Amino acid sequence: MIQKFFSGLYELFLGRPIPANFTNDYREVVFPNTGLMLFIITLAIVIIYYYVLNRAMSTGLYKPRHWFMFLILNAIIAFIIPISQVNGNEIETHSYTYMFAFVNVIYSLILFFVFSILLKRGSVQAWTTPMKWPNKK
Amino acid sequence: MLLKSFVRSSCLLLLIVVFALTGCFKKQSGKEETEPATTTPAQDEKPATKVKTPATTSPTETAAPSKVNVNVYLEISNGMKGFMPTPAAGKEATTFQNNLNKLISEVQDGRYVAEKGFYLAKEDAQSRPVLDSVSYNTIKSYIVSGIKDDVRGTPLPALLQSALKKSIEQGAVSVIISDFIHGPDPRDQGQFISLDSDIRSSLREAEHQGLAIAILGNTSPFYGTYHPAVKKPELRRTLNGEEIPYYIWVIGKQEDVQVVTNKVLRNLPAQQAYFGFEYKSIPYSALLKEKQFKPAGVVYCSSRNADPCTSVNLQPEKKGPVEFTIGLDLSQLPMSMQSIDYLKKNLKVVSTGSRPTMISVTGADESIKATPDLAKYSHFVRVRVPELTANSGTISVQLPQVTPTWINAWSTDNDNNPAAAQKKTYQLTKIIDGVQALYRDQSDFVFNATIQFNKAD
Repeated sequence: MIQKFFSGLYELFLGRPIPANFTNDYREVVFPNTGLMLFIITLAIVIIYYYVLNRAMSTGLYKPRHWFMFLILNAIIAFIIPISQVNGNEIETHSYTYMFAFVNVIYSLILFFVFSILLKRGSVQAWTTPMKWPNKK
Repeated sequence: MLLKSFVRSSCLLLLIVVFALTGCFKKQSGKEETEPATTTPAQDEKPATKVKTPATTSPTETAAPSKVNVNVYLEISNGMKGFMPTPAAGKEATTFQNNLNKLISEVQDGRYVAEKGFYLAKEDAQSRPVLDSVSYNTIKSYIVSGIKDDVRGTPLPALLQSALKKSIEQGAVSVIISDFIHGPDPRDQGQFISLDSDIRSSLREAEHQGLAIAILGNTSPFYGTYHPAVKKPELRRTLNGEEIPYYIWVIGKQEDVQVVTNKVLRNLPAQQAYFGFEYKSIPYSALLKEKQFKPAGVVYCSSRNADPCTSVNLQPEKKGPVEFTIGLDLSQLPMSMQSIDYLKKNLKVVSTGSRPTMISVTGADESIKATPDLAKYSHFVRVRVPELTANSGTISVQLPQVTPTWINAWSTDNDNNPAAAQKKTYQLTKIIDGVQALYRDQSDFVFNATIQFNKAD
């Protein structure tokens, strides 16, 4: 189920894995692993940003450029994970691998934004970061 | 200032956490990789159980017995005398004498023979076959110093039958050495007409007992009186070193016959024929991740960790036909069947649901033998699948049972003048037809390696 979901998610833009003889390694291991890690790490960073740094600790990192820094940090992690996954599973590296990493970065940006919108209202200092919408007050 | 350093350190902390996390995940996936590999045979996948994993079934078939019982039957009719001329100073031994000497000595003293028996095959006055049990020294003296007896003919089918009967009773492999020139009673020449069916009847018991037959053809210089089967224009001829064929027939259980051919006889002649040989479960696998055999096009193993991989997913495209390699372990097969030339000529790739062609057959070279995953395969067949005609099906590599070409070349309908047409045996094809008829209803293939396929999604 999860395998199908993530395989579909990545292959939507990437197409069939190349080299094709590693199709099952991508579908059964690399895609789900990368997808799950993307999801968990992005969520963790968003929670840390809004609830640890800007609520529990009040560090003053509430400005949009701080948020942006965390967005980029998450994107870098999202670029490294797929490549390490591919290498870790002894799959031949191909330009497909880097396209995959790139697509993962795009997903990380979207996901980070979505989580921010959903969770920022719980933050004390950063509830308007990166912008006020959709919260009113 | 303080803030900046905090940001930096917190970023660092995050990174560490992240890497720790990736570490965890990798480990997990690593486990996934190794665990299923050990449990592959238990997988509930259909193809895997259907084709039956070779690893589990092969031992019963491939476990070659370390020792076999051997009965050697040497035909000593007058027609054989020329192979075993009486020795004289300055006269070299014939090929026949050299080879036979090695053979009986290996049977007598070799480590692969348990019980042994030596028999001289002749006929009595009524043309009935007689098998004289003799000692090693007696048979040796016949071979090195010639045949003293006067034995007129060779009733070939009857001889085979009685030799076979004796061996089956004693649980031994029969090794029958003869020129296989049928010499029936002169009053009953009609036997030539029915030679094939007579041979078949005489060996019927072999087929019933599930025995296999290996026929090895060789030639030797012949000195002395040659008795052709066709008695016109000459009743007999005197030859002086012309090459005349003789044959060694090995009859027994497939694995026992192989012990005899590979370990007792050793240096086999190029002319070999095998009947009733079948290998139900040779190890094989589609090789899709090996660097030496990179596949082309969209093809991958249906199960990520299957070893051996006997089920693949593939999707040939107009521009990109699928190509992949199937590794086979043919080391159990008779040597002549392992030769690349033979396989190239005879191996067939057939399929339901696709149109495959065989691109190449290669043997394992040193670099392959040094690769642990590949060392278990002796031959590699490259297959191209340009298109599918169904969404699923099978691709099989098969070695059909074929009559070797040398049999036709060595057969003649008139053996009256062997000097003009050397290396010919009268009606050899007919004799072989008789043998073949025995196994006609058995499997058509020496082996069959089937890969299931599904269209890739």
